[in-house]
Amino acid sequence: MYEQVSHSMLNEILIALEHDIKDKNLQHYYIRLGANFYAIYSLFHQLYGQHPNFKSQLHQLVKTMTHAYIERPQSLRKMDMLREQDHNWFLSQKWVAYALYCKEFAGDLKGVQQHLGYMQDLGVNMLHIMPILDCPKGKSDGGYAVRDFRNINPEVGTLEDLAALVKNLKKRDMLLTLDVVMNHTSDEHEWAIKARSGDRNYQDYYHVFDDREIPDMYEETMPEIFPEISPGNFTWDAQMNKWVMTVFNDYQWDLNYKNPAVFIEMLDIILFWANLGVDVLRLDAVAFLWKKIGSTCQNEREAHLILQLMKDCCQVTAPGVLFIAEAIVAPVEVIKYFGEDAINAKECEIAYNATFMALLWDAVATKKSTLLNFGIQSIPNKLERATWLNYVRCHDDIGLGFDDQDIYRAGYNPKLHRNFLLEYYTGQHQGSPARGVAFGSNKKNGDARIAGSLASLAGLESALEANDAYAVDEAINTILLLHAMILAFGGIPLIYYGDAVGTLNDVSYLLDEHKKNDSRWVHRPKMDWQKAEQRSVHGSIEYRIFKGLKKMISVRK
Amino acid sequence: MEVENPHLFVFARFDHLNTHSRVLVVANFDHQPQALHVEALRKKGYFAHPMVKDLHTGDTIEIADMQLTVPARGFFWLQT
Repeated sequence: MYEQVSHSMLNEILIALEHDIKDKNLQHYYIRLGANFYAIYSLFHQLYGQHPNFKSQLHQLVKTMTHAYIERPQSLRKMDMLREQDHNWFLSQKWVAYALYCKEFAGDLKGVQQHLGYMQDLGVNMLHIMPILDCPKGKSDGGYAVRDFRNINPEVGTLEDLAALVKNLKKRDMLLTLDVVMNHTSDEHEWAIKARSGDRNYQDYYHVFDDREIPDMYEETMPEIFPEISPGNFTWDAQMNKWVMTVFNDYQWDLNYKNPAVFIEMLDIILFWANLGVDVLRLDAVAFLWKKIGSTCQNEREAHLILQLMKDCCQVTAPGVLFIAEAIVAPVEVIKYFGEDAINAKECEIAYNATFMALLWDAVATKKSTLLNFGIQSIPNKLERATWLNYVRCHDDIGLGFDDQDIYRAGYNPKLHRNFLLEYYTGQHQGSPARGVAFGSNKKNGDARIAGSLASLAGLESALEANDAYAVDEAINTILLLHAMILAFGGIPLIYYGDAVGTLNDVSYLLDEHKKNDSRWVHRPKMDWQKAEQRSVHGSIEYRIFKGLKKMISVRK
Repeated sequence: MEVENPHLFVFARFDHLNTHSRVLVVANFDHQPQALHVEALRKKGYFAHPMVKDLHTGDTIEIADMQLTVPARGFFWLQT
């Protein structure tokens, strides 16, 4: 078991006592390793005890952590110690997150550095840069189809650029969050290439099948994530002459975590980024890590065990690093990604509060807080030493992930109500000022999600089109109201790039061969810096939104 | 917190370090101003005084007739 408070005290005592320990640099590591090892061993055994190579894999696990610690720069080790002493450091009110796409926001990593002043003007200090790992051009799913986990997409920069950014951020007391896509790789990743060439070891890194027998069994219970663009969960690979599991896009191969080698590879990758100074690692699609025939292959118990193990190992090597769980699932399931309880099972410190986000949009459409109130009550009490990431918009679509029971309690029919919301936000409903775009429409069950920028969804776009000053006021108020809610609710508020100046939908994605089928690109525009400059023009829309948001942020702190 | 007006969203926010410090968040999702009847909340210990401070604007608001009018698509962060 590993517990920070007692560790800090133990460390202080040991430092006071230490004399001439030869390799004192590793001392803290050994202490943590000793403290956590029973838990690590337990979890590893639960997951991989049956594996013929268990012992050698366990050896490899410890070797991986040890090497990563040796690589860990002294400055980061110091930071680890400080954060261990103040283990609630990330719960402070002062943190306000900001998410952006590097290329769209500033062209490249160097460009991001140039705009740090803008961020400080707004008051945000926890920067989430959407995935910048090397991906194949065009088939990257916005950066989530990784070709090389240890390299940055050359279009946005190099590891040196990142190092420079990290240095700059630290000077300004700002945090950096980067994504690590744990669930899958691009089909152009070295491992996939080797698998394709017939290498059995690498085929075992994925879920590979000779025929449809097992895939069909899986399909009985697995939902489709991108029903429009990539229906079905398996793809035939002609070169390998096999079926491979591809839950997301067909060029994203799911990793097989039943193979301990996969876990160890991913741990090494995570520690690699931790050692580059990343403060928070956003673990993408963690709900999907474990596949089991007969289940939805989401939120399986083993997925949690994997995260616990990852956390325990990371805690030994790089304790100052936090995990954010990107698990956009029902509230009762999300809560489990914090861990089963604070002592036995810690997983991620931060999780997206997708429920609150969807409920706020419901309140805007219905003009009532009925469902919002019921929905909030459904969010179970979270743990100590863990917190929500509250947001209004993000890079993704809005999923209407409400509990049907809550919808009934609010006096609505679930199917009709969801239909209403979809029509309202796609502007089809009579009198709706919203200008969103449907995403992920599943013809088979009528399910759909909503894409669109904050301002367009809030009615600013239609108000400007109609030249209606009153409607513009209402839209701006709605934008500020939504942010006031996430800034007041318990947790870390997340602001999406462009929202602070009322960025509208960007339909240019329809002209891009690789983006036109994914309507989420409508709210991933190139940041309009001229528009951002308008924030200093008294009375402008940009001014009103920016100033309103900036004020709320500073009051919150 | 449940209030009778369905357009209003009300919740209390406590500082986990300083439990005496709390903020009452009142939001109006309607396109019209809406009234918050404070009587029910007084029973829970809020609005003990007729004057409340809105931390967002810094303004002090006087509660008249046991109700607080919340502007359309507006909100308060009240110290009460």
